[in-house]
Amino acid sequence: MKEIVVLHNKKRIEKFFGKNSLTKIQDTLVSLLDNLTFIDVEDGNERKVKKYIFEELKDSILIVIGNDNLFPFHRIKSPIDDGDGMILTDNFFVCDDKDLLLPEIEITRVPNSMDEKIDSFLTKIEKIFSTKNIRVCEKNGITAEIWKKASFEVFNKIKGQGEILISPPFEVSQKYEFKNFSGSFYFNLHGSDQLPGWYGQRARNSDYKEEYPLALLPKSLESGIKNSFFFSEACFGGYVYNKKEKDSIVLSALKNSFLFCACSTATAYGPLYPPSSEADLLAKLFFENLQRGQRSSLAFLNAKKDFIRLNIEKNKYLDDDDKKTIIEFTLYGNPLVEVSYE
Amino acid sequence: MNKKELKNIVNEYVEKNYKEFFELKPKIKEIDTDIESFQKRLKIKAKPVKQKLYSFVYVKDEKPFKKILKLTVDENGSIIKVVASR
Repeated sequence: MKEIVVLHNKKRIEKFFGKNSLTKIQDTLVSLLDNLTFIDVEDGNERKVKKYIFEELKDSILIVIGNDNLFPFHRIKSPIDDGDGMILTDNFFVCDDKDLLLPEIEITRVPNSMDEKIDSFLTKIEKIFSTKNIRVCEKNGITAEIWKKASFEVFNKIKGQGEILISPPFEVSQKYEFKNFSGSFYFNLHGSDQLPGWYGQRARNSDYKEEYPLALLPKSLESGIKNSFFFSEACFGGYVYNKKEKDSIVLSALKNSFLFCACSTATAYGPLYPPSSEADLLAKLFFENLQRGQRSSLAFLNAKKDFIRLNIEKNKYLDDDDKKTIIEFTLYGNPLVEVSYE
Repeated sequence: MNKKELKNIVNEYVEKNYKEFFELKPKIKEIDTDIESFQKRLKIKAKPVKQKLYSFVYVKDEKPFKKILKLTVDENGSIIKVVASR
């Protein structure tokens, strides 16, 4: 069995959640998972810990505890001059190359929201980590109308029964309700670091009036869903920095029965039409790996490796948006979930 | 092909296909196509590209969010890839 290495920063956790909160988090994790090692990563010791991980714990799965305030993301300059400046990544602890483009170790993060108390965080950990195997038969998703062909290319490869909604016409005031839904979600929508929701976009020749309809809010995924997961291509879909639960779809989803999700901490890119590239390609590879029976963190790690391999074999290079895709996409939640399909 | 000719080709393409970005000044950068480290680590057999590649990035800062169009272009002026921000 793989060793699970929990990375935390005691000082930061106890400053935010209070005295003995780290012990409570550790006790909760010990009651749910086997073969755990805890490492306290004090500020300034990140490189030393990374060296130790690569020397002694390379075959483990890393779980980072907390949002940026409890365990800072690594900051790296955006490979594209697109106004993002520095972007947040968890590739630091799992890449040995200077550009952080070659992940070698499985990693995930369990983020807190900025208004979260310790009891709520412990409940979230319990919910996320109490399930390791899920059986799903359904799928769902939302795409911007302008990318519907590109999205079909990904969505059609996801196993299960279900449909992808197109926005417009779909928008957040319409019925988007679930009853005992358990399955895969795929979102190909716009997002922003300033806004809580994700948006559609009408196609160029579309008859719809609204150019950017609001398609999804944090509260949209609150009820009727269990044991589910998603991949979102929205720009800043995984940007949880300084966010409260009501301001982040990821934080809300992880609190409400999503076990894991993959999304971007910065501006994400994709094609207008098939074939799949950038975020579309990474999503497709992630779902394919899950469908091969790989646990969530392995499916995510291998999706990034496959992404590099496929791009180099096909194009003979990685361009700036390929590199940014590898750096910015982040896994949150339970790394151990294995999905079987009915 | 010199840079001015390359810019003209891309401008013409953007004007024809992505009019909303045409008025914007793109940020142009030569792309690092070195793949040696990837080949070694992932054991990939591929010959690196010999020609120079450039990215043209158009950033439209508008509400509710910024929109970005990015083109990858080779030194002969062929548009290799067009991507949009999500």
